[in-house]
Amino acid sequence: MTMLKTLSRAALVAGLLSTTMITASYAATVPEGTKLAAEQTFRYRVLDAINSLDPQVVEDVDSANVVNNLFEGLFSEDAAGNPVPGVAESFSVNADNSVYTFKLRDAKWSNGEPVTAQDFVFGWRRAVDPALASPYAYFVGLAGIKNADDIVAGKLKPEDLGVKAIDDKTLEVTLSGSVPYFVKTLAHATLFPAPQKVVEQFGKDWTKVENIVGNGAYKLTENNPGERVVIERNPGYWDDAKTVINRVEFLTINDENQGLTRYLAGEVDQTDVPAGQFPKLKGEYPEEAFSVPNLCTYYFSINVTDSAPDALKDAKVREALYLAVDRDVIVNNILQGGQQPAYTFTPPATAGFKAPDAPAAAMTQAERDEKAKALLAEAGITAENPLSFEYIYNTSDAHKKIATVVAQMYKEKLGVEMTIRDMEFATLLDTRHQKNYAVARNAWCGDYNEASTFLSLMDSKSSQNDSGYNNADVDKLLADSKVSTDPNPLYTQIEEKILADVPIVPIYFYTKVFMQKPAVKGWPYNNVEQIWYAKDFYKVAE
Amino acid sequence: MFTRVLKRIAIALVTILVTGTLAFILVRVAPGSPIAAKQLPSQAALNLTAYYGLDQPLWVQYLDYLRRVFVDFDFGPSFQYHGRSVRDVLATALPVTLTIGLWAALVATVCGAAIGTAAAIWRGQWIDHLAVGLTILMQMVPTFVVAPVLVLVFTLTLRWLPGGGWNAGDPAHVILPVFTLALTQLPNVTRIVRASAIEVLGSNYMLVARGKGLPWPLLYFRHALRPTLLPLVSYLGPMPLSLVAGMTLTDLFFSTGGVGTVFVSAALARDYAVVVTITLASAVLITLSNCLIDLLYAALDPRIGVER
Repeated sequence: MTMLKTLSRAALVAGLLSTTMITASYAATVPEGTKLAAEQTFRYRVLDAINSLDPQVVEDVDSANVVNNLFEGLFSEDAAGNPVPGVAESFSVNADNSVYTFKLRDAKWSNGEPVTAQDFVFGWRRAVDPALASPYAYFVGLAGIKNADDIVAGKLKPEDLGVKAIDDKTLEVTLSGSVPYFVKTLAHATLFPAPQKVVEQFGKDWTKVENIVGNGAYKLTENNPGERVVIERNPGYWDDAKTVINRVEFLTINDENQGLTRYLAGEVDQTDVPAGQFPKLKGEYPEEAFSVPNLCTYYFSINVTDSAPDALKDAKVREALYLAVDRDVIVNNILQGGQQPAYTFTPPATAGFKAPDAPAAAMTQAERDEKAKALLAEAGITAENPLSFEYIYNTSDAHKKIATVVAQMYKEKLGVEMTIRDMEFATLLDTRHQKNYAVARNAWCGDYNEASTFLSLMDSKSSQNDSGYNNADVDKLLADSKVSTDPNPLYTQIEEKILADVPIVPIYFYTKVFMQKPAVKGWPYNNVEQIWYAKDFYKVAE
Repeated sequence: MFTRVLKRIAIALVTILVTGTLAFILVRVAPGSPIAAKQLPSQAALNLTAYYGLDQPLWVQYLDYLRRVFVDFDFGPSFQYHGRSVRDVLATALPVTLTIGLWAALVATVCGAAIGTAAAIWRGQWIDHLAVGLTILMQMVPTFVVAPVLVLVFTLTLRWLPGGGWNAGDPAHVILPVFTLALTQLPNVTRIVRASAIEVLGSNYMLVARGKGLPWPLLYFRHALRPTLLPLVSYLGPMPLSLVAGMTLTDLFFSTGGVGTVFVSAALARDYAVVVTITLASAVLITLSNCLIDLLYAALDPRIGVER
């Protein structure tokens, strides 16, 4: 995965006070002699309704997939997740990597007007404006853009954001420090441009079919959020000549099995595989069933605050719980979709990240179990003083199976009684947030391909720190990593702290397991965020 | 009579107001919140809370909601669809639900009446046995079994019809959801019509008509049809309500994007405004139809008082 960092890191290292020309664009590359299908329509199944088409507001993955095709930021991502030029043609960076200057290419909005640096300024200010209350407002601060957090907090005005249009084609961005992953965040919808005139003219209605203006490879033609969203090729897009797919239909199918049925009936080109069905489908359709790494971790949060049961406040007890989970049983017998056992938090597929060697990963399960028993004995957990606690999870068959099997492992190996209770997702989030639990199911997917998107959850101030984990060293390492030119060694150290303190029990790293019609070519299988652009695809004749 | 009507309408209004208030309170006291469901960092969550006015005391939110609904006829912003109003959300979902619901009611009524009448005419013969057997079977098998079976047969095996979606109301996409939903009502219609037809066909005037040697089309269509269908009319009143209940499952299974899907996803995401509005709309529908039926009964039979 070292390829993943090439552009941004190379640009940063080599780009001091120099201009980095970024030439390679990324588009559908159709090998010569390929017979293309007559109908170039890509039908993609989504799980839920498309909630929003506003780049500064969009928050879920499926809606972001639509927005990524309707708009374009300074950068996009290639099939491996590397940043590739979008609206940016080149950029330069100052000596301490805190000021970036981007030169924009000649790109147009779908109403024919040019995309200017001011459109980026407008969009980014909009993203942090408390008046818009974007759920992703914090992302601008995460990207390191100066004053973003203070504007979101209402202490400064949106005009104070560290972004400025030098002229129509030159955008200058000032960061709060040298943020090592800044360029990677630029492919995120929150940092897309917004068409000022249209947004101001139509207000909240600006993303309606009749009003919306975008700068992406596609234009919106139909939006029935709970059922389908249809986009069609934008002939005014700067790289339209290389686009092959003419139309994309995002079809909402709430049920995975129903999605599979409709895939088999030829109604969709791609759909997720229901849990446990991958081996069977791979056997029946070897060319169509895929399992690729995904930037997500499944884990148990252990409450380590005062509200937790006393026994769980002991790191030895937590480590015993960490060790006694036989992850191979979970990934090989329950999930069966190519998922990888997790002994650390950040997925190993994360760009540039080197996970520490978790001692547990090198042991056999029998050794882990022995150590777990010893740790519990040290902590004074015995038959006379048994440990029992409750595990909560959101209602789902797969989560239930995992909970049941882990409860069984704890009982048989450690004599620990873990009762399990399911609840609605919204209730689980709330219960975790209130620290009103002992052990809870949790999962996190990266917002961008860099370890801080995971590790920042371990910050004692993070509102997503469900364990209530509070380690001053970790907080300091996180703060240092934000201004470090190479934060990866710091990330590894943070993982080591987590391994020692065990506020979480990582269970497995996700894979995206899906069916895809063989006619579809160009899918970014190696992009661990599974960010895709229909302009990079084509369909061959079957 | 006039005071009776006024009284009944007053009771209906109070019922609607109480239901709306209960829905407003219940959805808010349920654990979880639309903001927590988004898993945001604190400041973004605070801004969003203020944006939706959820930082106000409950009674202020309630008064604001009443003013909006009754003065501006505005049901507020959807929490799940940032930037869209509840009206917007329902404007796309409602036509889907109405189309499927009306067609299902029509199919259930026409087919049910035909099957019920046929069963009565050939009472005790194989047609009757088949009709009764099928009716019992349909009543036993729930929607979540019927729908996949229909898809298995018509989508995967025969490849005649798409297995879901709405596609702007394209007829091919509408057929399976309509039939799935119609099948929930068909057994009742069939039973009512069959029983009624048996009674009508055995009545004295039909014996006389038959004795006069009238040809059978005239006999059945002219003389028997209307009295046979009368009991059905009283069933059709509450049918929309039971259709609404059955529609959620159909809607979710076929991903048609109707009110059922909106309601379920809103409940899960704690989209307060959408949940309260759909609950309120159902309350209005039910209360009004009950009110209408009560008043009709009172008008038809003076012995029935509104007071009771």
